[in-house]
Amino acid sequence: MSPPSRAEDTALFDALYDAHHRSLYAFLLGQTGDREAAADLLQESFVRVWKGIGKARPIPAEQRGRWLLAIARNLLIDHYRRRGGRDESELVEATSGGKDPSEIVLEKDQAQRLDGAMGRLDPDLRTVLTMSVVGGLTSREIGETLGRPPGTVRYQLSEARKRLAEEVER
Amino acid sequence: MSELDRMLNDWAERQALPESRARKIRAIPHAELSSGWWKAHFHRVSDVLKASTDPRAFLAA
Repeated sequence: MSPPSRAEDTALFDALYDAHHRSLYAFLLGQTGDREAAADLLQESFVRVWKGIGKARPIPAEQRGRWLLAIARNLLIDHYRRRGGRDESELVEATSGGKDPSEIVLEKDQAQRLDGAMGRLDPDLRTVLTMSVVGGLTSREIGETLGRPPGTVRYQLSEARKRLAEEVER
Repeated sequence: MSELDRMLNDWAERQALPESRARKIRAIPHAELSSGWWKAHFHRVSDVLKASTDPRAFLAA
């Protein structure tokens, strides 16, 4: 059997990207609470995927999403390590804005309040919610990606929405 | 649609992956391998590649 051609490798990469980039980005966004960091980590993940594209081939199609998630999780660990550990206060700061007077006024805006509430949400709940609203995934799909029962995901989605509603209605 | 749903939809739109970045990532295989960006990126990635990205370890887990 001849080795896979570059065209076949590219087709496999494209298929992996098309099938998983939304869920992977939503996962990274939920974990970091930072759009730029999530985009950088997504890019880094797919650079790794391309460099190791030969490794993806023997993985059954239905398990490739979990392989990609493992890559993204490793990069996330490196990301936090480089920053000297997860700093929740930094995440809140990054998503709720600064403290100059004009921004304090903007905090009254609903969008700003939601940004702030998202930043304060438990990262695990935020990840599930982000995978739902940004990734467009169902509870079953989120559960399959994260290795959780769909019922647990539904509970977490409900809990996340409840906490957000409490914060933005204050 | 509830008020919270509307706010969440707006938030999701603001947080979406920028289209320019999405195109850049999808084009990774098509990038010129000899470009400085590619060499620099691969050099950095090679420093942190982990055994857990090996499918045999992944499938055995």
